[in-house]
Amino acid sequence: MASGDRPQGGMTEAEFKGLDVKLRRYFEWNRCGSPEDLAQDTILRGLKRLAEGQVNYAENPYSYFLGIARNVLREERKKPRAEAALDEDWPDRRDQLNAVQWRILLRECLDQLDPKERDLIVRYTLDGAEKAANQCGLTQNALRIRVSRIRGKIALCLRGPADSV
Amino acid sequence: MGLGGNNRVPPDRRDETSMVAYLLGQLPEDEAAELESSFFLDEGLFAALCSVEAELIHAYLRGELTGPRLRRFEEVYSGSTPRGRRLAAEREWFEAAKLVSGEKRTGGAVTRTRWWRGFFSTDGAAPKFAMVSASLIAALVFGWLAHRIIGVEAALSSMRADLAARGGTPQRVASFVLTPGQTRGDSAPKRILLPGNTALVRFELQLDGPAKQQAYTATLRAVDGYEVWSGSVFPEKGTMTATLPAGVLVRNDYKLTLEARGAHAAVADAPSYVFSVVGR
Repeated sequence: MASGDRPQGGMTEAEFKGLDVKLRRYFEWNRCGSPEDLAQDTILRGLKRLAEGQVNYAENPYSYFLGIARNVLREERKKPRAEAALDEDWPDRRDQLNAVQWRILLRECLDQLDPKERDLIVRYTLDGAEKAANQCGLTQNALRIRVSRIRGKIALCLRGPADSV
Repeated sequence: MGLGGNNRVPPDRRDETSMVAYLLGQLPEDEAAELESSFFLDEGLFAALCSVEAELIHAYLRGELTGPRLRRFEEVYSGSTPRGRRLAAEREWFEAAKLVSGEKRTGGAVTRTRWWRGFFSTDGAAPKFAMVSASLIAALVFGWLAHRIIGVEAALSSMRADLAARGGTPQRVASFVLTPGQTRGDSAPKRILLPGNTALVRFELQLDGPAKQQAYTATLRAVDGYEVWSGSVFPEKGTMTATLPAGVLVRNDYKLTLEARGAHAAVADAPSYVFSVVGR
């Protein structure tokens, strides 16, 4: 699906990616165990219905998919809870090493930032939004917008998903 | 105050109060539904909600949450749930920011030491004054060294505590070996059946020959091209390991491709790996 093409549902690839980000957060904030699976299920159901000729009645396609997501959430909550992990689980030392590497990588990406941007995001993280905004002479909203852009740059550096807002 | 809990809520913080209540599952159902409808339509509101969540987590990491709010936060952001993993990811941010901040403060202490050097003067200075100055400078230098050592020790202790904590949180890991170069046209892709309650899936990515990059970005896409996961992988002794949450895998065909980290296109001869998840 090329960027800018308008498939069924009238949404571009970028809009579908944005929808997927919101759906994952929606299921995560509703305490579901597999938000990625449920987001994918929601999108697939919506596309299937559109392909079957159902009309998207919502003003905004996102509202249409939110309606489907609510049904998916309702079904998920009716399911029995997953069984607890078996006793043969074992600690994963490779994941511990990767966590340390990840932290080093994060620090390297912070070092690559412009010093003012690095200072801003460090203050925001360690001192809190209100204090950092006062120190930098910004409103909290302006600070959050700047932080969001900086974290987007870091996400590119890490080549991670864009939904790590 | 603020995210730590506040009984008097100024008008401009009402929205943030509602957002925090929503994130902690304490907003009434109808208000939560209204907020969800709003953030699906309003990009700015969605971004603000994500920021408020990050700030809530940072407040927790700074030790600012107390009482019922702290208990509720720990209940919601617990263990190996998606919210727990988000807390873990933000904790990495927080620790990286602390490391960077700690180096900046240490740089300031070096500057103050140089400024004190002006007192060490042998041009007409009384011996007593010279001795006092020398003692003061020596004390400052030793104090700076102790501060550096304490800072480094604190950072190492934090990392050791994190490692120990992770060691006490066992996770079900399913491991598979993938070999490069399989395509749907050559032979059947590797078929994977994930055990129940698998939390993490580890793919050992075998290489044909030595790795050409020091680090790669691995991107996992479903057969329709939809990206489901990406992360960094590092070659080590002829192989690489990609570990991803089991939740991203459903019954489908997948292809995992590698890019040089920082690039935006696949390296021309970088390996790719194809497999099918046939069930869980």
